[in-house]
Amino acid sequence: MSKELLIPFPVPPKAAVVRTENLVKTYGANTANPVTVLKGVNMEAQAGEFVAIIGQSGSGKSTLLNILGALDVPTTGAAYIAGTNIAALDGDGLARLRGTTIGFIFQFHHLLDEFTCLENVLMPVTIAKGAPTRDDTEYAKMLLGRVGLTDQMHKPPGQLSGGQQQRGAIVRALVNRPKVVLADEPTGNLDSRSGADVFVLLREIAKETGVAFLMVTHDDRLAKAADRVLRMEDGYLTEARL
Amino acid sequence: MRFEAMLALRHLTSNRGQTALTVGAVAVGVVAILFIRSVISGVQAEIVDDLIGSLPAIVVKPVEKFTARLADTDSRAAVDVGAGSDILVTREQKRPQQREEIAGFAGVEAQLRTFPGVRAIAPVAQGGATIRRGVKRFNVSLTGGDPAGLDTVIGMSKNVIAGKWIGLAPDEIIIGWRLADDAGIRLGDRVRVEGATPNLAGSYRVAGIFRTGTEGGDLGAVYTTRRTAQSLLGLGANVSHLFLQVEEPFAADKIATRIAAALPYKTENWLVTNSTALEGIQGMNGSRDMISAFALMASSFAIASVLIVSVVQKGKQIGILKSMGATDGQILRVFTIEAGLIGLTGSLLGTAISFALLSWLMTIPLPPGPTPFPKHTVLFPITIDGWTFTGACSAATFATMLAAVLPARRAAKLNPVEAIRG
Ligand SMILES: Nc1ncnc2c1ncn2[C@@H]1O[C@H](COP(=O)(O)OP(=O)(O)OP(=O)(O)O)[C@@H](O)[C@H]1O
Ligand SMILES: [Mg+2]
Repeated sequence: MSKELLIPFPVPPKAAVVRTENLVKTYGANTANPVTVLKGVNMEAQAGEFVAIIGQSGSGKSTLLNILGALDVPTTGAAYIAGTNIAALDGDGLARLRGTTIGFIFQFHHLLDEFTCLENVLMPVTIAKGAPTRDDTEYAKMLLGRVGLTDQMHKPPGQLSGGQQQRGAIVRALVNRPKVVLADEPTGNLDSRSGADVFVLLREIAKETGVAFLMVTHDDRLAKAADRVLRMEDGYLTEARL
Repeated sequence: MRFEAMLALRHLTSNRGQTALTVGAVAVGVVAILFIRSVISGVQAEIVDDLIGSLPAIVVKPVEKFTARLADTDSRAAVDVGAGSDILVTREQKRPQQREEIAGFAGVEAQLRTFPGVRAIAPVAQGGATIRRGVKRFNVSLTGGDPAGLDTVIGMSKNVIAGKWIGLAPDEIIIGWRLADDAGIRLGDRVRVEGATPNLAGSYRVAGIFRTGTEGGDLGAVYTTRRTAQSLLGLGANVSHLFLQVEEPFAADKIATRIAAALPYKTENWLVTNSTALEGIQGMNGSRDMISAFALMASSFAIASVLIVSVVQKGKQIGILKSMGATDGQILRVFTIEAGLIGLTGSLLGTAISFALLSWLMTIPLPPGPTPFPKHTVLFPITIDGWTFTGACSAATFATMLAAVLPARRAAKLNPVEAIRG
C-alpha cells in the first residue's frame, strides 16, 4: 500500500491543530468541596505531530483529553481545535466538531455489537451523512487493509481478538479524516505484545495521515517513542524528558 | 434520518427477545381494545337494530285540539325542556270522544318526503282494540298499515315466525306469540276484534304470528291492513299517525324538530321514547373507552420500562456514538423511531390476531335460552369495523411513541464522558 494514498489532505506543516490557553476544569464547582483538576493548562500540538501525555492516575489526563475532544467543556480558559474554540460551541456545535475534526480512541474498543467491523468503522461518516459514500467505503477498506483487518471486516466485533478490535477502533477514529486524534490509553487493555504492535501502527498512521496525535499512556517505553512527551502534574502540563 | 432509522432497525433486529416482548405488549393492547370495541359495538348495533328495526324513528301525529302550550297561557310557569320540545300542557280536560286524525294523509306524506334524511313513510291507523276469545278479553294496540309499506318502516316481515304478513287480506290480522299463547289462539283461528266502540267489531282470521322480543309487542300488539284498522277504529278515510324511517337513526331528533316546526303536526322520535335504552348504550361507551384507555396505558407502561432498561444497557453505545459526532437530536430520533416501529408492528400483529379471533367468535352459535323464539343466532354479536381497527392501530402506535418520550430523552441527554467511563 503506497503511503501517498493515505494522506487525504496534506496539512500545512507547523499549523497548531490543538491549542489551549489557561485551561481550567473544576468538578463540583457548586458543591461544598470543588476539585480543580486542571489549573491552567497551556499546550499546542501541530499537524503530523505525535504527542504522548503521561502522569499519575487521577492527575487529569482523561479530563484534558475529553475537553480537547469536545466531549466536555472547560470551566475557564480556551481550547482551540483546528481554530475553533470549543468553549464557544453549543451541544450541536460540539457534536459536529467531534464528527468532522476529531477522532477518538478509548482504552476499550467500544465497537458496536450490532454491526460488522466494516460497518463499525464507517459509523462516523454514517452519523454525519446518513450513509457512507463509495469513497468513504473505499477509504475505510484501505485503512482496514493498512491495519491488517481485510479478512475480518465482515465479522462482528465479537469474533475479533482484542488487538484486532482495537485496530478496528483506530480505523474508526480515522475514517472521517480528522485533524486531531485523541487516544486515551489505547493500549491499556492489551497485552504488551499486541500493545506494542498497536502503538507502532498508531505512530505510522499518524505520520501517514498527518493528524495531530495525542496519546495518554502509562507506559514510559511507548511514551519515549513519541515526538514529544507532556507530563500532567498538579493540574499543569509540562514538557517531560524521559 | 437514514442513520437513525438504520440504527433503530439494527437495535430491533439484533435484540430479538426484547423486540418480541415489546411488539407483543402492543399487540396484546390492540387485541384488548379491538375485542372490547367490536363486541360492544356489536351489542349496541343489535340493540339499536332491535329498537329501530321494530319502531318508527319518527311518529308524526296530529296536535290535540283544545290544548295550548303552557307558555302561551302562563309564562311564569313555562318550563324550558329544550329546543324542539313538544311537551304540551293543557288546562282543559281532553274531551273523551275527541279523536286525533290526519285528514288527507297522502298530501302530508308528499310533504314529508321533501325533508332530507327521510327514508320511508307509512301512514297508519292506530288505536286501542279488544280481542275476545270466549269470555276472555285482551286489550291490545291495533295498528293498520299497508303491509309492504309498514315493512319499510318497522320491518314486520322479519318478525313473523308463522304465517304471513305481506299479502294480508282485509279480514286477516297478525298477533304476537305471547298473546297467541295466553289466549290459546292458533294460526288460522278466527277471533273477534272490537274496535273503538262495541258496534265497530268483526271476526278476523289470524294469518300470522310474530315475535319482537318485547312485552308490548308480543303480548299487546295486533297488526292488520290499513282499511281494516280504519274501519275498526272509526277513522273513515283518515289515519292517526304517519310512521317515518330515516337514513341516519341518530339524526332522528333533528329531523323530527324540523318537521314539527314546518308542519302543523306533533312529532315523537325514537331517541326520546327509548332514552333509557340509549342511556344504557352511552354507559357502555363510557366503560368501553375506559377499558381501551387502560389497555393502552398498560401496554405503554410495559414498553416504557423495557425501553428504559434498553437505554441503560446501551449507555456505552450512546456515549460512543456521541463521541463520533451523533447529536442529542439524532439519539432522540433513534429511540423514537424504534418505538414507532414497535408500535406499528405490534398494531399490525394485534390487528391480525384480533381479526382472526373475532372472526372465529362470530361463528359461535347462541346456546339455547329461556325463550322459545330467540331473535338472535350468535353468542357474540360482533361488528368488525375498519375505522375501529385503524383507530386502534393509530392509538397504540401513538401511545408507544409517547411511552418512548422519557427513555429517548434520557438517552439523548446522556453525558458521553460518563457513559463511556460508566
Ligand atoms: N465527573 C467528575 N466529577 C468529579 N470528579 C471527577 C470527575 N471526573 C473526574 N474527576 C476527578 O478528576 C480527577 C482527574 O480524573 P481523570 O480521569 O482526568 O484522571 P486521569 O489522569 O485520567 O487518571 P487515570 O490515569 O487513572 O485514568 C480525579 O481525581 C477524578 O476523581
Ligand atoms: Mg484516564
